[in-house]
Parts: sequence; structure tokens; C-alpha cells
Amino acid sequence: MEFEGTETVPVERSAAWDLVTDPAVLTACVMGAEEISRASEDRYEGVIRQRITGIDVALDGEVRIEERERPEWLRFTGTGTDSRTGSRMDADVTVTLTGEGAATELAYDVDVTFTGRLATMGSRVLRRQVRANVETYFENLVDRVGARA
Amino acid sequence: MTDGRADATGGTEADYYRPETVAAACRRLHEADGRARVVAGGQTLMPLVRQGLVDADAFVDVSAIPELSGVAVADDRTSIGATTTYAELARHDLSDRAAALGDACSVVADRQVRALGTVGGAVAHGDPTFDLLAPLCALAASVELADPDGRRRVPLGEFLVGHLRTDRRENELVTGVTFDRLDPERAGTAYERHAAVESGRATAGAAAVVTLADGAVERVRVACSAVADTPVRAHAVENDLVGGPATDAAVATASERAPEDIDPIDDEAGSAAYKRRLAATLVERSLLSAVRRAGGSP
Ligand SMILES: Cc1cc2nc3c(=O)[nH]c(=O)nc-3n(C[C@H](O)[C@H](O)[C@H](O)COP(=O)(O)OP(=O)(O)OC[C@H]3O[C@@H](n4cnc5c(N)ncnc54)[C@H](O)[C@@H]3O)c2cc1C
Repeated sequence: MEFEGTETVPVERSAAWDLVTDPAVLTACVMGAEEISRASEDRYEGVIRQRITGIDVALDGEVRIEERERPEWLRFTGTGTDSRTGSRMDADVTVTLTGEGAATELAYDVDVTFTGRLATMGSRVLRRQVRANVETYFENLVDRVGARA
Repeated sequence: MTDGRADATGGTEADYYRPETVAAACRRLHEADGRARVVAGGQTLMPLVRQGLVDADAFVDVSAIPELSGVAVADDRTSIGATTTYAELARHDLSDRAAALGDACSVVADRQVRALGTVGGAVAHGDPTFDLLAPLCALAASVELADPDGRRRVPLGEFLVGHLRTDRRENELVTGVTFDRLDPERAGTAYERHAAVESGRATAGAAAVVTLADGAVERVRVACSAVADTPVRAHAVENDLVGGPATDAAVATASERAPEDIDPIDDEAGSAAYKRRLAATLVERSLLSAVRRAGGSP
């Protein structure tokens, strides 16, 4: 399933770049993210725990920056596995940063696939859930910058 | 006090409790410290348990708690207990008076799901495609909850916070829903939905509650299902209609504004654009039917 969207953060492009690639920010902005750490320059590890009504998911995951053109765009992939249900999530995300003076527009393109038992939930249920996660991440990012400014 | 019905939970090792009072059920939930799940009709929960998508140490079956079952209609307020099934609600007089509820109960799945699925289960799961939620939203219903420390009441619109996300705390029980009585002489309600053949679930749905005064719309609430993360009120449609004439033409014009408050997504049931058009059509149909039932002209 694919999602696109844009969000504007009230900081210049290079500062926006630093935000998007800071693991502390990632942890604070991803719903249910715990202990995300930077394993190497391009690789982050962590756990995402979510409990939506009825379903418990704990994804042990890794995020890896695959390509980057600082400060214009980056492409990263995320994988998460839930050993209890034998499920796996793969995400491929491209973020393009466009400077608009003191603000930066983040345009994102996200492609997510599920395999294993989670996939049996059907895209009707998962699509909304994934989209809510993606949107919340970017909204949290904007709120965080707003609170600091 | 496990009664050995582990087979009902798909052969898991979890404990199974069947308390007979709200207090005892709350105590079980509290003791399990987040590791217990409430079971009512089991129509949603048990398939998830069998697929391994629910991880619980205990199940608290609320179906034997007399206080939670049945419909109570008082002078000014109606209450529906959490374990009231779709079939029971459909048979009750209330489903004539608040016909949107009867409309919704009659389109849910098949007889088995209607015989077992409960109002509390539908509310607690918070799936925006569930048919009962839009009518309850249009009736401005509140959700009643109990936990070991007491009881509270939350408007349904605040209780449903997101897709499959509710305001319920882990050791709280949904005890029922309640809403103000409508004036039987002047009010009408209806629910209309369209379902994809393969899934049987709503692609979109709309519920309308209308109160008329001298051929004009005195009060109106419209809520849509399956076209946002939660059921949503169609405020633009409501604002367009209220105070104006209850004619077919006014309803048709107002219904065009349904897409303003919804947020559908592309999925296997259809594209977002298709669902926007569908929602407007269903809003129009539910409004026309509600106006007719209220004794209006159409
Ligand atoms: C084949 C099939 C087709 C269906 N088609 C439709 C359809 O067309 N339209 C539609 O609207 N629905 C449909 N449903 C879903 C059905 O409406 C729900 O399964 C039902 O309403 C849930 O009620 P339940 O009592 O079975 O809940 P359960 O499965 O017992 O519980 C559901 C969730 O709510 C929680 N819960 C239940 N009761 C309480 C309570 N009192 N307090 C706190 N938490 C509680 C449970 O812990 C669980 O998380 C379908 C289901 C099936 C299996």
C-alpha cells in the first residue's frame, strides 16, 4: 500500500534535514516507538509497540538510510518483525525537502507491505492504521519544531 | 474460578472467567493488569485470537452479567446495555421509534453475527465500518463505562478517538450506550449503507436524525460510516439544512456537501473519489427517509 503527503515545518532546510535524521526525534515522533538508537551512521534499531483495540503488535525493527542527497532528499527503508505472530513489515520511504525561506516542505512517499499473520488482517484494516501512523509521525514532527521555536 | 471453557478461546492456555456482576468483571480486569480481554459475542475478538493477533492471559466473558443486557426506555432517555445483541435490538420497539438502529441491525452480516454480536462489542472495537456506530453518532449517544473506581459517561464522538482506537482504559468495561429520546411526533431517523459484495462490510454508510417543525428542519444530525478513521458528523450538510424547508430539493442540495467533512481512502472497496460520491448519495437517501419517517413531505 502506498501513501503520499506533505507537511511543512517552520525551520530552514538544513535544520529540517537534521531533524528528519535524528534518532531522538524519530523516537519521539513515531507512535509507540521505544529505544530507537543509531547503530551506525545510516542505520537505526528499535522497537515499536502498538496496541490498537483488539490487536497487539510489537515490531522489532531497523531503519536504514539507503540514499541521500543532503539536504534535498533521502530514501530510507524500514523493516519490522513481530516474532509472536510471525509477521513482517517492510516500508520504503522517500522524503523530499523543499526550502521555502524560513520553512521547509517535506513531501513523503511511503510504500508498505505486510507478510505473515498481520497480512491476514486485510488491507481494509491495515491501510487506515498505517496511514494514521505516517500522518501522526509528520504531525508530531511539526508540533515538536513548533514547540521549540 | 476458571470454568474450563478454554475451547471457546480457540484452545489457548488463557484463563476464562464468566463473572455475574460489573464489579466482579472490573476486578478481574484490574487484577490481570492489562493482560485480560473482555469477550462479549466474540464475533470480532475470536477470529483475532485464532489468528494469533491477540495476546492475552485471560478472557473475561461479560455475557452472563444481567445488568449489562437489554434496552431501557425512560421518559427522556434511552439506554442500551452493552451485551444487547443486534438481534435483540432489532426486535425491540426502540428499533421502530429510532428506526436508524433497526436499519443498521438488519444489514449487519448474517444471522449468526446478529445473534451473537453485541452493541458493546461494536462500540468497544471502534471500527468505523461497523454499521451501528453512525446511527448512534447521529443520535448523539454517549458511552457508559465502569472500572473499579467508578463510572463515567463519554460522548461517543469523544470515545472513538481514531481508527480502532478508543478512550477506554484497560480495566474499564463498556456498560452501555445512552441517548436522549426523540419527539415521536416530529422526529425521524434512518441509516443507509452500501456494502462490497466480497466483504459484506460497509463501503460507506450514512445515518440521519431529523426533527421537523411546520415543514421546516428544526434539528438535524447526519453521521457517516466507513469514510474516515471514526464515524464522522457531516456538519456542512447539517448547517445547510437546519432552519430551512424539509423538501427533496433542499435535501439534495445539502447532501452535495457531504464530502466536506469526510476523509475516505483508496482501498479494495473503492477509490476515495468513488466513496465521496457514494457518501453524498447515501446521505441524501438517509435524509429523505428520515424526513419521511418524521412525517414530512417527501
Ligand atoms: C463474518 C462477519 C461479518 C460481519 N459483518 C459486519 C457488518 O456487515 N457490519 C457490522 O457492523 N459489523 C459486522 N461484523 C462485526 C460485528 O458487528 C462485530 O463483530 C460485533 O459487533 C462485535 O461485537 P461482539 O459482541 O462480537 O464483540 P467481541 O468480539 O466479543 O469484542 C470485540 C472487541 O470489543 C471488546 N469488548 C466487547 N465487549 C466489551 C465491553 N462490554 N466492554 C469493553 N470491551 C468490550 C473486546 O475485548 C474486543 O476487543 C461482522 C463480523 C463477522 C464475524
